Amino acid sequence: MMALGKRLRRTLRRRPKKSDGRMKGKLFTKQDVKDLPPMVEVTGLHRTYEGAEPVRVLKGTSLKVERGEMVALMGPSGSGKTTLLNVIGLLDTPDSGTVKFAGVDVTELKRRKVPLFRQNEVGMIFQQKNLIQSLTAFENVYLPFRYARGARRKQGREQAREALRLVGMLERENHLPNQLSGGEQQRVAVARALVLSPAVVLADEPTGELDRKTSDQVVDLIRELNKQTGQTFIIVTHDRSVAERADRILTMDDGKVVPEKGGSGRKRPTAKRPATKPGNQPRKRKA
Amino acid sequence: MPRHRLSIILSRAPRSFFIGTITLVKEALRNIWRRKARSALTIFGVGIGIFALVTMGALSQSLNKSIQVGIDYFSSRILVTKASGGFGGPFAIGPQLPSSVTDRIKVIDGVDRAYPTLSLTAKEDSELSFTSSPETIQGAPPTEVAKDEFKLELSEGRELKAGDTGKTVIGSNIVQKEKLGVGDTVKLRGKKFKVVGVLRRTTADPDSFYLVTLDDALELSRRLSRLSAGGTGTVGAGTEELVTNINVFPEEGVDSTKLTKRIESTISGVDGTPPEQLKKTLEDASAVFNLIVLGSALIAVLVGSLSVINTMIMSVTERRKEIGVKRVVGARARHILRETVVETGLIGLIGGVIGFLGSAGLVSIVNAITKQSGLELFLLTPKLAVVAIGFAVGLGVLAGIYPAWRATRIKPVNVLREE
Ligand SMILES: Nc1ncnc2c1ncn2[C@@H]1O[C@H](COP(=O)(O)OP(=O)(O)OP(=O)(O)O)[C@@H](O)[C@H]1O
Ligand SMILES: [Mg+2]
Repeated sequence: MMALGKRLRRTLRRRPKKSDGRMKGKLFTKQDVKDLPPMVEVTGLHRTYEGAEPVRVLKGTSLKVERGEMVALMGPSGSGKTTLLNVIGLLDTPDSGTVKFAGVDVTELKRRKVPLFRQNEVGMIFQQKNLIQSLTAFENVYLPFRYARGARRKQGREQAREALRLVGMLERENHLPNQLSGGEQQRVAVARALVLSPAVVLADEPTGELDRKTSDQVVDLIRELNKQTGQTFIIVTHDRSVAERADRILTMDDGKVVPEKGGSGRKRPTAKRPATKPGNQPRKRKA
Repeated sequence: MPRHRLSIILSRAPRSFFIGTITLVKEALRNIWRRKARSALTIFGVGIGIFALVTMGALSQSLNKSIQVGIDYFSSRILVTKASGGFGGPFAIGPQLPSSVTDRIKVIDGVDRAYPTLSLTAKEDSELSFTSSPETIQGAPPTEVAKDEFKLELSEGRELKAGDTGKTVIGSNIVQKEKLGVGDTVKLRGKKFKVVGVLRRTTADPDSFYLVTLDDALELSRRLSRLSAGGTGTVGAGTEELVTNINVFPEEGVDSTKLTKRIESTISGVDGTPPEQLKKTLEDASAVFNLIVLGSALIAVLVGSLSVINTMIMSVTERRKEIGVKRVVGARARHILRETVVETGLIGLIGGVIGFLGSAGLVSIVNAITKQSGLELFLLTPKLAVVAIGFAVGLGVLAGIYPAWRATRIKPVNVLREE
């Protein structure tokens, strides 16, 4: 798998003006990490759904997620969590505000580049019907490679199997989604979100349709993968116990992220985390 | 695992391409299978269209082939007949002209050679048939016929020679209808003939010919005129030999249309038909027939492809969430387009193959039945098979374009919220 650092450099290379000297060379040294821009930084997002009665959903939303963090996003129904996630994943465009990945404003990406960005930098997992029903587990995980450039496609098969192995679904690679349980399907979806080793994984209620036990399994898996790969996760959930597995819980209310109160959940000082868990280390072991 | 073996065979660069294509086809097949009843109906719709196309195509090919034989036969010669408007000969023969005209034609500038032929129906009660031409006796001088560029081929026995009085070479229809073969004897218009040869099937007029020498034909014709003149035998053109056509062969490099004009102006009372004109008449006839036949089949196929469009729009609507997911993992519009079009192309292919097989079955059954009456109604060629199935795939692909375009308009953000 391609190392996280390489991914980031690639992101930066797209906007050469904004790249800065520090990005070259090693990425995750202890002293560097606090100087690096946050992995995801959202500032002052506004999004109104136009129509007969315009709905103002995001009203100046801002949030910051550090490299390698796993953040839970909670909040009442209708508060704008899905909308925010869609904007971060470039599925939706904000009326104003910026979304920065490692300091790069991706809302300014050319339309032509957007699929490439989605493919390489963001993995997405949804609540349900994540998988293509007419593709096997393996083919579903391979899907991002199908749409990738030829050079990447070459290693796709091994990487897809590796991702399936990571989520413990390799023995079921030839099964169609309707031959898998909801939890198993969700694990396959996780594998697909990770297969191109994106910098950020966005999950919108990934356990929303699962029972307690399966839900725990999927969250454990995500937690474990986050530790292993050092990828950044933002997980929207209504489930307290899911949220508590995250490094940090953010709450959205009425289109804004509520300022954090200290000591909630299993919150940890964020800046330390990537330093203690260098993102690219476990991969080196694998290679 | 087959996949492994495959990847060894297709190792290196094209590998990912092939695997990609295989996955694409597999996905499309599973999608087709997902909605069995609906897909079956759509495929059936395409199948009916292709069935009509192949059946009609086989019919027109068979007709074209017979016409081609005629074109080959006539395109080498100018056919001189009695000018229309004159009085006709006996009903069984039609208008006649003196065979001495042949010698007058031979001396015209640009004529290589010429010989007369006499044709008359083989039977008194010769019935009109729509399925095959009536049996006719064709009399021509064997020595001249031997020089023809276009000759009827034999499947058995030998050709007629000079002096073969009382001998005949028969067409393939006659073999079946009259149960005749080489060595048998047949009575034509009161005279006995021995069969010495059988013609190869042409699916055209010659299949119903009794080829005889000109002398024999003239003898039969004389008998007929005596009969039609009330048995007195003294009325008519007297001792003049009468024939139906004179076959004129132009010298090399001579414009046959101009030569025809020259013949008509030199000899009064005759009409000449140059090969171009005959060829054109025959080709026009077949073109019109082809147009009608293929046009109606095309309509059937178009209706089939409308049902493909309809089905695919439904499928795309049903799968819009999946399409959204594909966009999320990086699919571009052209990927979505390609996948949709592969699916409709496959529907076209399956429908095409089914329609073709159905038609091939029908055609061979009908041919087996009509063969007994000496006719092959359909001609199913490999080319027709390829064209029909290719056409089905092409139409499938075309029919997929509009639904595919709609699929590319699907925005993930709009569909991902849906159940
Ligand atoms: N296409 C749309 N047109 C108009 N309003 C919309 C549209 N999509 C979403 N909304 C509204 O935007 C608001 C926020 O929706 P969003 O899906 O982001 O909420 P959420 O926080 O994800 O809720 P939930 O927890 O129920 O998933 C809701 O009030 C919703 O009705
Ligand atoms: Mg939501």
